[in-house]
Amino acid sequence: MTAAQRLQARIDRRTLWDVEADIREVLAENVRLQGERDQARRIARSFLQPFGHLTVHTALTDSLGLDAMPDWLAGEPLTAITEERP
Amino acid sequence: MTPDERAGLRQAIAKDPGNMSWPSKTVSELLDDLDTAERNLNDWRNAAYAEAQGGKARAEATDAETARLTKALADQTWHAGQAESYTAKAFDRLEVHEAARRAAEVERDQARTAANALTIFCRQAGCTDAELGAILEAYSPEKFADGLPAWLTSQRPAGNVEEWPR
Repeated sequence: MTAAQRLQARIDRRTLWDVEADIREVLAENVRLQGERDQARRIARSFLQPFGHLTVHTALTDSLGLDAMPDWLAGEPLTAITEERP
Repeated sequence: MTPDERAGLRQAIAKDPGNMSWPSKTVSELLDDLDTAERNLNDWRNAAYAEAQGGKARAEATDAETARLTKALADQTWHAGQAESYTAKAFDRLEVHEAARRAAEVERDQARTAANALTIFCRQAGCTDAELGAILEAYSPEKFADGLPAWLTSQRPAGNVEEWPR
C-alpha cells in the first residue's frame, strides 16, 4: 500500500473533526506533561542553590551515571510548545 | 371554403330555400359541420400550441435543473477535495503534536528522575520529608502544603523514612 493509499484509508475511516478532536486532546496532554516537566525541573534546580553545582553534579553522577548536568538543570530557560492555528 | 364564402352561401340558401339546385338542409348541415370542424381544428391547434409551450417550459426547467445539479456536483467535488486536503494537513499537525507529547513525556521523566536522585541524595544525608519540603520551598516557587508530589517520593526505599541511613 502506498503512502497516498494509506492516507486515503485514514481519511476514509476518520473525519476531519475526529482528527481535530485528537489534536486538542494531545495538546491538552502536552500542556499537562510540560507542566509536570517544568515542576520537576524547578524542583531539581532548587537543589543547585543550597548545595551547589558540584554537589548536585556528584549526586547525579552517583545516582544516574550522568557525565554532565543537563542544560535545563544548569539554568536554561524552560520552553513551551504552543499550537499555531492555520 | 373560407368562412366568408360559407356565410354567403348560407345567405343565398336563406333567400331561396326552395331552389332545388342545392339541398339546403344538407348543405346547412355540411356548413355547420365545417364550422364545427374549424372550431375543433382551432381548439386542437390551441391545445397543441399550449402543450408545446408547456413542453418548452418543462424542457427549459429541466435544463435549468440540470445546470444547477451540475454546479452542485462541481461544488461538492471541490469541497470534498478541500476537506481531504484539510484532513491530510490535520493528520500532519497531529503527528507533530504527538511527537511533542512524546518528547515532553521523556523530558518530564528525565527531570523527575534527576529530581528524585537529588531528593534521595538529600534523604541519605539525613533530610526528612518536612525538611526536604522546606528546602524545596525555600529555593523554588513550588509550594507543598499538601505534601511532596507523589512522584518525588516514589523512588525512596521502602520502610520508614526515619530509618533511612543518615
